[in-house]
Amino acid sequence: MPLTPREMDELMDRHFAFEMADDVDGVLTTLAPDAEHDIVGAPDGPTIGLTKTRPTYEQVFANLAGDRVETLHRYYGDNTLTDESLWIGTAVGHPLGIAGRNRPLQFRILHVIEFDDTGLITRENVWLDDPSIAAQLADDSPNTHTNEHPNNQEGQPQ
Amino acid sequence: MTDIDASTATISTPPEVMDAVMARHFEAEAAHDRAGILATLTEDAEHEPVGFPGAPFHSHDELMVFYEALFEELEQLDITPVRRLHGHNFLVDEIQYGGRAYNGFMGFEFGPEGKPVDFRLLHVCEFEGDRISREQVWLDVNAIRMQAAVG
Repeated sequence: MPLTPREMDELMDRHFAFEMADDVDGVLTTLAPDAEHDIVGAPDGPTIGLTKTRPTYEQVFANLAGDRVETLHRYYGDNTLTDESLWIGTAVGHPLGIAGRNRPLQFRILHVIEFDDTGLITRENVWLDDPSIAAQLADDSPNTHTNEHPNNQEGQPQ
Repeated sequence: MTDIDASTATISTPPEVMDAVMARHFEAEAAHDRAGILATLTEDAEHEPVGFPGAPFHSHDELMVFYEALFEELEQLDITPVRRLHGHNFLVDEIQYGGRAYNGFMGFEFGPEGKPVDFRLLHVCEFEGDRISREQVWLDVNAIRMQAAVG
């Protein structure tokens, strides 16, 4: 039985709530055991499975402390939800390899989510407004910006 | 917030029509066919390449200014379909884009002769009948940034 839009809304909102709380264990409960997690631009590519996805979330939360997400658009398909939101929070680490220095940050983020019939996420595909992040964190120092992605280890070249 | 809900949608563009429009749209872009591109869009279509200065664009005139600049900075050589999801009056389409980028594309420098680029590209398109009424485009900017930095 496919999910209804309301059910997908509830599942997505729960997923975001865990993310805003930096609750890695909670986020992982929303994913299927073999879920594909794909942050576009991540140098190492998508991860498959909870064990490999956990470090990605730990690194993202080390770089970005979310306060809230504001939903802008949602598109519902057969067990798919495409969500465009405005992420609002603080750059606590090195988003995109740029020193965040605890500066406020907001940017748009697109999630393309696929669910199984039980409501677990089987694929999470994430697109970022990278230029907006880079512009907000632009700095005069040439050493603060590398070509790294938020789920890299801080300061570790690829 | 715009909700496209299959349970309440009253007008439906069949997936095969959306696919045909997207194919014409991509072909026109590759050929730098301005009229062909505009023919796939409603008069008041919103067009937003995320992260581009000045976006979103809300008229064909604004859009042509964008495309004129884009055609100077990016040459499409090959696109490979990756994944497409259809819903009522919308689709989400990911492709692998292969082309050649020139100085200024996404604010990066690509040298005097440009450089080959290969990156993921996602379209989220809404349809009214057989035309696109909203086109939002997301790019793998990190991949473009790294390719600009090479050699």
